[in-house]
Amino acid sequence: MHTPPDSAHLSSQGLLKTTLLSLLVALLLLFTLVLPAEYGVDPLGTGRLLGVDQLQVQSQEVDSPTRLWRGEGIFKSDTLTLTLLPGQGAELKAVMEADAPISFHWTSDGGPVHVDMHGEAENAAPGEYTSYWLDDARTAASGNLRAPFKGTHGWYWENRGDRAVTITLSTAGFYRRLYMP
Amino acid sequence: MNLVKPDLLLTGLFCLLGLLSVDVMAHGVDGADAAFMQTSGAGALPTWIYLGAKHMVTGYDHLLFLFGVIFFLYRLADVALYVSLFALGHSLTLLAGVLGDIRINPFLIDAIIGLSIVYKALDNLGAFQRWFGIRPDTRAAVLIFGLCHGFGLATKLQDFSLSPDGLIGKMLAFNLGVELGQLCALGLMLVLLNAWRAHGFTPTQAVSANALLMMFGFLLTGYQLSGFILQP
Repeated sequence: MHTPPDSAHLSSQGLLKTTLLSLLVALLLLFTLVLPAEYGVDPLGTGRLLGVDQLQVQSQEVDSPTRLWRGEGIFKSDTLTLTLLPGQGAELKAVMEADAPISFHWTSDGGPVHVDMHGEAENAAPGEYTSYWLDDARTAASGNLRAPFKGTHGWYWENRGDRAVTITLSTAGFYRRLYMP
Repeated sequence: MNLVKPDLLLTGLFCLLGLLSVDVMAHGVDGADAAFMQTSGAGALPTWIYLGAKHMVTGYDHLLFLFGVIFFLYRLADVALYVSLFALGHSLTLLAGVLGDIRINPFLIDAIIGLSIVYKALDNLGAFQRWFGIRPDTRAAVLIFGLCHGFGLATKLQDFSLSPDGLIGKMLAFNLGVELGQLCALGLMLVLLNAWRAHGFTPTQAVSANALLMMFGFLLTGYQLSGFILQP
């Protein structure tokens, strides 16, 4: 009975040639098309030339606004009040992981206040911080913050008026605790 | 004279596989399917079967490997044996991976899957016999690579925080779907392969087909290794 072959038979040289050619074509496709299209890496400039790198740019644009953030910490909400006498300043801060979101709303009852919403990285040098939102005279503000780094993120209010004001802050989001330093 | 040249047929098959996979499966599961997977409770088993089947039918890496495996198999009993070994391997690791929460870097596991395609193409070209004087037991190799493919499936599911509610049932349903999808894909491949063989299957064509297969294997390996290096 005739048994069909279970492999193709090639000369040693033919086999080596075939293997090397396959590897070469794969590398060529990898560097000219796949890397630019999939990862935006374009060592030979072919992605730009052929326009396949657009795939990369577009996918980033489409992805980022709809990207889901999956909460791993505890969801918390707090409302705190504090009174500021004329000339007095005070801070409230939330301890957060990088990328965690917090929504906030605060009001100042009694007059406008100076506010600096800012964050301090976990191992930052003393006095080193990043400002997110500076304003000289506000009676209310609200918004949402995605913590740019792990550390404390919060508000410094200063009463530059001549009457006492009461600040009421409400927060909700993923943070460990909200506290007054 | 044949209307359709067999090598054109093969090229067509590869192109079809490529098109199918481009938007469906870059690396895992798309939006609506992902949302379902994360919210699904113990019920909805038919949907899990469907997702398993879809995953297999659109997973070009698994399909290319299977194509390499059945390339030189003529008897249905042999096809059944090898495919069962492959199924056994990937079922074990899919279940163990998800249920035991074993995490392997998906880029590395997919790179190994790419190499499994290279291995099978080289094996089909008789390379191991020629280079090393011995041919590794293909049954063992198919089982071992089946285990790798299962981890690949598992890592894709583990990207989602699957609800633990009825997890075993859901994984068994998904796995059943994978096997059903594999049977469908296999059926199509066998039809095409047999049509090709019936029209005369020249050694040159067999070499070209396996060279192309090997090229895809190298390309997939390069793609995944680059991902491992470039993406944090």
